[in-house]
Amino acid sequence: MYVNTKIVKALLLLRDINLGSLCTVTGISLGALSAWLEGLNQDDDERLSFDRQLEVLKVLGIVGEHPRSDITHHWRVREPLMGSPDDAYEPLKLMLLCFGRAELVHLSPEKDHWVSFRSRTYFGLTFAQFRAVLEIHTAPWQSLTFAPEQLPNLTWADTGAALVLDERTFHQLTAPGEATPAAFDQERIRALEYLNWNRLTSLAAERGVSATEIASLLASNPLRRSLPGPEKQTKRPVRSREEVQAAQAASNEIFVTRDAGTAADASTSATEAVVRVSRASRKRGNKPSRGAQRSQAFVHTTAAPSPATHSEPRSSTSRPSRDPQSN
Amino acid sequence: MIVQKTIDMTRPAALYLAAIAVLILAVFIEGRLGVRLVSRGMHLPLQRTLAAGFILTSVAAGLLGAHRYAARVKAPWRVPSSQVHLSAFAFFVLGASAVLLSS
Repeated sequence: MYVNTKIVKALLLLRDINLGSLCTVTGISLGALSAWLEGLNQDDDERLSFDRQLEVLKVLGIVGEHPRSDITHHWRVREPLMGSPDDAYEPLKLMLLCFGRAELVHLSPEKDHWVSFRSRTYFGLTFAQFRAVLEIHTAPWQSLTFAPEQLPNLTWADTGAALVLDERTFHQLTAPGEATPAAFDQERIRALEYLNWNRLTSLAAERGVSATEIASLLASNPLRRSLPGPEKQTKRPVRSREEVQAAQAASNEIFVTRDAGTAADASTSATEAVVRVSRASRKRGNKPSRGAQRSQAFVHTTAAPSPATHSEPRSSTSRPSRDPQSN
Repeated sequence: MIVQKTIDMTRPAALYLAAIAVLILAVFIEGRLGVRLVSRGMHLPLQRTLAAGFILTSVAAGLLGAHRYAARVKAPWRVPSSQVHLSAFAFFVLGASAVLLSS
């Protein structure tokens, strides 16, 4: 098993880290790092051991097979002034293919600045395993070309909810290293709850149900709910550690094996392996209680994508477009 | 606590209105009251034509700003506030230049 450098390069771009900084932090020489990332030498492991590769991943926020779930990751995309912005979103696309489904919310301060000539737009990404804040830079006169519906595994949360936050909370959530996943989830659920309550109100009005009736129904059937936190990582079985450059170029997994065969086979087998592992772990695990199932359903509909949907095949499926302001 | 869903854009909107008010006031003081806001030492060829050009471009920038403002209200995640501010800034600077040239 070895580290897929395609993912490493994408993470370097998203985290806005240059090779020099990475060398300083990890103590790896620039030559060795460049050779490994560019695949210049035939036997990469001789110049950069697997442990050192894992160290690089750790600096980029990945521990195990997923980005850390105890921090909120901060990713940056810079839309080019000229030309197609598709290349700018390529690293994000890779992350979505590699780490599965994510839900998107727009993060915004509740009040616009008096004057601002800086153009930065923030989005919250909720993956099954971790949380990330996406910061998109554009020229001040340029509109965003970011189209979530055109990216694989990315959907708007609910009907495109925006997290309109007070300025302090907004700065806490968008400053790199400041936000915690719990705080992020809390704000996200709060915003989605607002929409759900509005929806419930209009549904009740449509059906002619009064607030008193709903209150009495709730009083007779007390419900419990809790805020879902980042889910725990599931361990995959360790695969053999060997290198295949072609498979690496085609695969969207962090760790790639040599016996993956052709590029297409590698991609398919990796996906199948993930699905198999996921199914097996579900079979092995205890059957969730009724309360847990209800809680899971709540998580799925109002907060994070469920692990069940996360383990579905990671293909590029188009999703219906959702305008955040449509509701 | 219920979170509000829409972004409050009253602060920049107030600033734009203030800028418009300043320009109107400057025109009023110059035109109606006859008070010179700037010295009359500046004489450029085609000064009035230039002023007219500035007024037209200022109006165009103002209209563009209003259009971008409406677009931001509709989809704040797609239209950054800087886009509206730039148009408003251009409107004010060009408008002020036109007032100065026409005085």
